[in-house]
Amino acid sequence: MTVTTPTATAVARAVDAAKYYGTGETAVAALDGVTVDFIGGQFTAIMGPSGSGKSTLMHCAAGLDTLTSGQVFIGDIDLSTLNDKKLTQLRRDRIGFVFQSYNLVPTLTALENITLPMSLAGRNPDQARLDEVVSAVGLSDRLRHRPSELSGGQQQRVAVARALVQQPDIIFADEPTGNLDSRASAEILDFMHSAVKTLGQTVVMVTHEPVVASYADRVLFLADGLIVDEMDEPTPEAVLDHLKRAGE
Amino acid sequence: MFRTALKSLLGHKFRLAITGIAIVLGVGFMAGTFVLTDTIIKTFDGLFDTVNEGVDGVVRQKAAFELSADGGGGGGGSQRDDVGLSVVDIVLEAGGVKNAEANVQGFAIVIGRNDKPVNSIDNGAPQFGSNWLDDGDISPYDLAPGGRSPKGPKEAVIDRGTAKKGKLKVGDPIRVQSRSPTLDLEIVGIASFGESDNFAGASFVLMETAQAAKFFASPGKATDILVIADEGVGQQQLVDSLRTVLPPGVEAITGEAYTEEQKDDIQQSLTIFNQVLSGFAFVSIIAGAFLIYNTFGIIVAQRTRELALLRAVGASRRQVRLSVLLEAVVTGLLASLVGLAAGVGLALLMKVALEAFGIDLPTSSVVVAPRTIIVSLVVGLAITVVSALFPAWRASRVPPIAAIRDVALERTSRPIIRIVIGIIITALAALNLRQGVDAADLVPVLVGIVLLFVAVVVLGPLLTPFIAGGLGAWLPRVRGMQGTLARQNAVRNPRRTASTASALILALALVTVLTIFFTSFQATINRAVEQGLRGDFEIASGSFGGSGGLSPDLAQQVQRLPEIDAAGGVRFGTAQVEGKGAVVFGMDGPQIDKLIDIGVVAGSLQDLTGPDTVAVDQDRASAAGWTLGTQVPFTFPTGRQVPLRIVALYENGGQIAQGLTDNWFLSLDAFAALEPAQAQTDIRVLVKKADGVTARQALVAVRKVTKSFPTAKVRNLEEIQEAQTRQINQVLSFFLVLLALTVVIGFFGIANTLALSVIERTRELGLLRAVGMNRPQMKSMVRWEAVLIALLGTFLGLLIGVIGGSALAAVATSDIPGHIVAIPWRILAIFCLAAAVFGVVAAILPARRAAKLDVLRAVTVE
Repeated sequence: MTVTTPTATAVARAVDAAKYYGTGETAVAALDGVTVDFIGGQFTAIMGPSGSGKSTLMHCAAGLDTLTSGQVFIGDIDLSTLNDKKLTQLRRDRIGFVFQSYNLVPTLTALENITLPMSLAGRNPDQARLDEVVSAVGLSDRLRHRPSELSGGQQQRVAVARALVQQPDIIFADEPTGNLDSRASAEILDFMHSAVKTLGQTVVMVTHEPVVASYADRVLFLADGLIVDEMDEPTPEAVLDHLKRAGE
Repeated sequence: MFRTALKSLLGHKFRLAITGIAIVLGVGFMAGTFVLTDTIIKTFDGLFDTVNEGVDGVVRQKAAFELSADGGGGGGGSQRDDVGLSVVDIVLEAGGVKNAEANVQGFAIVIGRNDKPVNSIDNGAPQFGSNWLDDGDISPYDLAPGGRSPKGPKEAVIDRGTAKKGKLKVGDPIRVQSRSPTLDLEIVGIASFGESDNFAGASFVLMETAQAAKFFASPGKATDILVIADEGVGQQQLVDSLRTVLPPGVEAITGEAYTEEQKDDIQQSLTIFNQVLSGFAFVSIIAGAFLIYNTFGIIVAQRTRELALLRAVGASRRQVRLSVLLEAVVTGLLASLVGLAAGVGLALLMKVALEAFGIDLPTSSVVVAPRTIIVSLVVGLAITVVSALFPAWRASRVPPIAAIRDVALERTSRPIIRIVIGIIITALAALNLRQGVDAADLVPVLVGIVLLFVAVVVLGPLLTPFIAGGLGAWLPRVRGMQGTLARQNAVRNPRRTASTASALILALALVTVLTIFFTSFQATINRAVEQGLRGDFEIASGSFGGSGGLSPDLAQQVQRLPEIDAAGGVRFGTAQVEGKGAVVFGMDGPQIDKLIDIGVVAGSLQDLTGPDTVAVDQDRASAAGWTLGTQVPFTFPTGRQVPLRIVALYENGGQIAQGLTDNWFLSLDAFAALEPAQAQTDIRVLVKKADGVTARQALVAVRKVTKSFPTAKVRNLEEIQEAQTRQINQVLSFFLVLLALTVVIGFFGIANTLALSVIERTRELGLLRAVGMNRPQMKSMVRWEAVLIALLGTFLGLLIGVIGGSALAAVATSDIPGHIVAIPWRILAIFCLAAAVFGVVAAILPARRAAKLDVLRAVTVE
C-alpha cells in the first residue's frame, strides 16, 4: 500500500485492515488486509457471500470491533489509539448506526429514540434539523409512540432518523432492510439515498441483495476477507450479473 | 427431559448460586439457632451432671406453689422456702445416708479495688454467695494449691474467674456486697470447676455454711440439703428411707430427679430464646421465598423460546412443569445442605462470641441433632419448591408457537381480579387493625399487619408504576438519559419489580413496626415516669429482683438524712393469689405515697402499713368483686397462707412494677414477715429531698450514704429516663440485628433481579452502547434502577410499618395512662437513605456486568 496520507474527501478509511480469529496454522482470516476509502457524500454498498468479511469490515470501521493489524480512520482519527470512553464518544457524536433489527430502545418513545445519542451526550437537539428529519421520514404523528406500537418499517425509519439527526460524519447500516417487506424496504432506501443526495450524508451499507445494493453510488464486492471488485453506479441487473460471474 | 433440566441447571452455575444464596442464608440462620441452643443445653446438661455427680438424694422444703413462666416475674418454677439447717442432723440419722451437707445459695457481689463490682451486674450472669462444701464427693469445687476451706465470719473462697478479673489472690482482703451491709472478708482459697474458671459465667463467693446462710441467704436455713447414700444403697431406696424421718413440709427427691429439674429449667428458658430466633429465621426464609419465586419467574420468561421448542418437539405440559420443579428440588437441596453447614459455622462463631463475653463454657463439641438436619433440609426444600410452583405452572403454559415468534409473549394478566382481591384484603386489614385498636386487643392488630403485607404484595404490580415512577420522577432531570432509562426500566415489568421489592417490604415493615413499637413504649414510659415521680432521685440496684438487690439498711440510712424528706424502698417477691402465681412488691406505703403517683382511686397508700395490708389494681379488684376492706387470701413461698386487707386501689401500678401489669403491693411489714429472707432487699429506693434543700445538697448527702453500698446507683429523673431508654434500645437493637439477615436477603433479591435483567436485555444494552452510551452512564443506569427498587420496597415497607407499628404501639401501651404513639420520622428517613445506599451496593455487580458487555456480540446476537 502506497497511499498512507489522509485524502481530503475520505470520511473513513481502512488501511491494510486485517482481522484473524485464532492463531498460527489454524488462524482464520475474516479480513485479510483491506484498504478502502469511504468518500464523503457517497452511498457505498458492501456485498459478498456469508463469511466474506463484509460485516467484520463494517464493524471494525465503525469502532464496534478491533483489528488484528492495520488501521481504520474516521476522519484523521486512528480508532486503534482510542480507549473505550473515547471510542464511545466517537460513535455517539460522529457515527450513525442502523441495524437489521432491534434498533430501538423499547422503553423510549420514537422521539426519545431519535434524540438518544444527543441525550446521552447531554446536548439538546437542533430543533430545525430534528423537524426536517422527522418530516422527511414521515414520522411527525408517531413521535409519542413506543416501538411496540410501530410497524417494522416505521421502526427502521425511526432508526434512520436517529442516525441522521445528529449529522454524523458517516452512517453505517447493517442489512437495514433485512426484516422488511419490499415496499417498506424501498421507502427506507429511497430515504437514505435522498439523505446522501440532498444532505450530503455519507452512508456505508452492508447487504446481500442486488436490488438493495443498486441504490448505492458504489458497490464493493468482498470475498475471503479481500475486496475483489467494485462497481460504480450499479443497477440490480449489473450486480446480479456480477455475482453470477463471481459464483462460477 | 430431566437430563435437559439438569444440564440447564449445571449450565447456569451463576444462576444456581444466586438463587441458592437466599436459601443458604435462611436455612443457615435457622440451623444455627438450633445448633446453638442444642449446644448450650448440652453444655448445661453436662455441667449439672458434673456438679451433681455423687449426689444421691436432695432434701428440701416442699413447694408452696408454682409460678408460671409467663407470670411476668422473669422465669417461673416452684416457689419454696428454705429448709432449716437443723434438718441436716435429722438426715444424717436416717438409714442408708453416708453423708449430707447443706447447700446455701444467695447472692454476693465481689467489689474490686476501684469500688466497682468485679463482675458486671448488668450482663445477667448470677453472682452467687454460697457455702463451702467439705465433702469432696458432693463439692463441685476444686481448690487451687495454696488455698484452704473457709472458717468463721471473715474467710471466703472465690472462683478463679473473679480472682483473675479482679487480680485477687489468697491472703487478699475483699469486700462483698450482699443482702446484708458490705462485708469485709479475706480470701483463703481460689476454686475452679474442673477446667472452667466459673460456672458458665456465674461467679461464687463461698463461706462456711452457717456464715453463708447468715450473710447471703436466710439465717439458719439452706436452699437444700445434698445427701450421699451408703455403698449399695440406691437413690430411690435412700429417698424412701429419708421420707420416714423428715419433718412435715420437707421432701426428699433422688439426685437424678434433682439434676433433671435443673436441666428442664435451663431448657425452658432457652426454649423462648430458641423460638424468638427461629421466628426471625423463618421471616428471613419467607424473604428468601420471594427471591426464589422471582428468580424462577425470570428464568422461565427468559427460556420461553427454549421451553416452546421443547413443547414443539413433543414435550408435554407436565414434563415442562416437572423439569422446572426438578430444577427447584436440586437447587433447594444443595442450598439447604450448604445452609446447614453455614448454620453449624454460625453456631461455632456464636459460641466463641459468648466466651468472649466471659461466659466460660466447658469445651464441648457442637451438637447437630437429627432434628436440626431434618428441619433444615425439609424447610429449605419445601420453600424452594413451593416458590417455584407458580413459575413452573407458567412455564407449562408456554405455547409451542412461542418458539418461532421473536419476542417473549406478553402474559395476559387480569388486573380486575387483582384489584378486587387486593381491595378486599386491604379492607380486612383495616377492619382488623381498627377493631384491635378499639378493643386494645393484640391479636387482631397482628392479623391486620400480616393482611396489610399480603395486600401490598397482591396490589404491588399495580402500584409499582405509580410509586416507583413517582419516586423516580426527579431522576431524568438530575441524571439525564440514564435517569430516564433507569426509571423506565424499573417500571417496565411491574410484576417483577414488585416481587423483587417484596422481600425488602417484609424486612422494612418489620423493622419499622418494631422501631415504632419500642420508641412509643419508651416515650410512654418516660412520660409516665415524668408525670408520676414525686421524688427527686432513685437509687437503683442495677438488678431486678433475684441477686443484687440493695440492703434495706440503705433506705433507712437515707431516710434519716436531714436533707431528705422521704425515702422508700421497693422489694420484689412472689405469692399465690386466686390460685395463680403472681409478682408482689413490698413497700413502705406512707413513704412511697410521697414519692410516686400510682393513680390511687380509692383508699390511700398512707394506710399501706402494718402486718396485713395490700394495695390492688382497680381493674383486678372490680373483676373479682373486691372493694376496700376485702380480705384476700395469699399463699407465700414460705408456705404461709395469710389473708391481706385491701387498703388502696390504684390504676397505674406499672409506675412501680416497671411495666409489669400483673402486680400487687404489700405493706413493708407484711412483705418482711411473709416473704423469704432472700427477698428482703430493695430493687430500687425512691428519694425526695426536704424543702429548702437544693438538689445538689441532697445528692451530696445521698452519695455519702451510698458510698458504702457499692452496687447502688443514684439517678435523677433524666438519668432514670436515660437508663430506661438505653434498656429499651438494647432490646430493639437485638431484634434489628436479627432482622438484618432479612434485609440482606432483600438486597440480594435486587442484585439477583438486576443481574438476570441485564442478561435479558443484552441486545438493548448493546444498542445503547453502540449509539454512544459510555460505561459510566450504563453503570449509572443500572445503579439508579436498583435504587428505585430499593426505595419502592422501603416506601411500601415503611407504609405498612408506620400503620402497623402505630396500631401495635397504641394497643401495647393502652393501659398506661397518657400513652403516646411516637413515630421516629428522623430514623425512618435514615432507613430510606440507607436503602438507597444499599441499593447502590446491590447494583455493583450487575452494573459491572452491564458495563463489561461485549457491544459487538450484543448487537449481532440473533
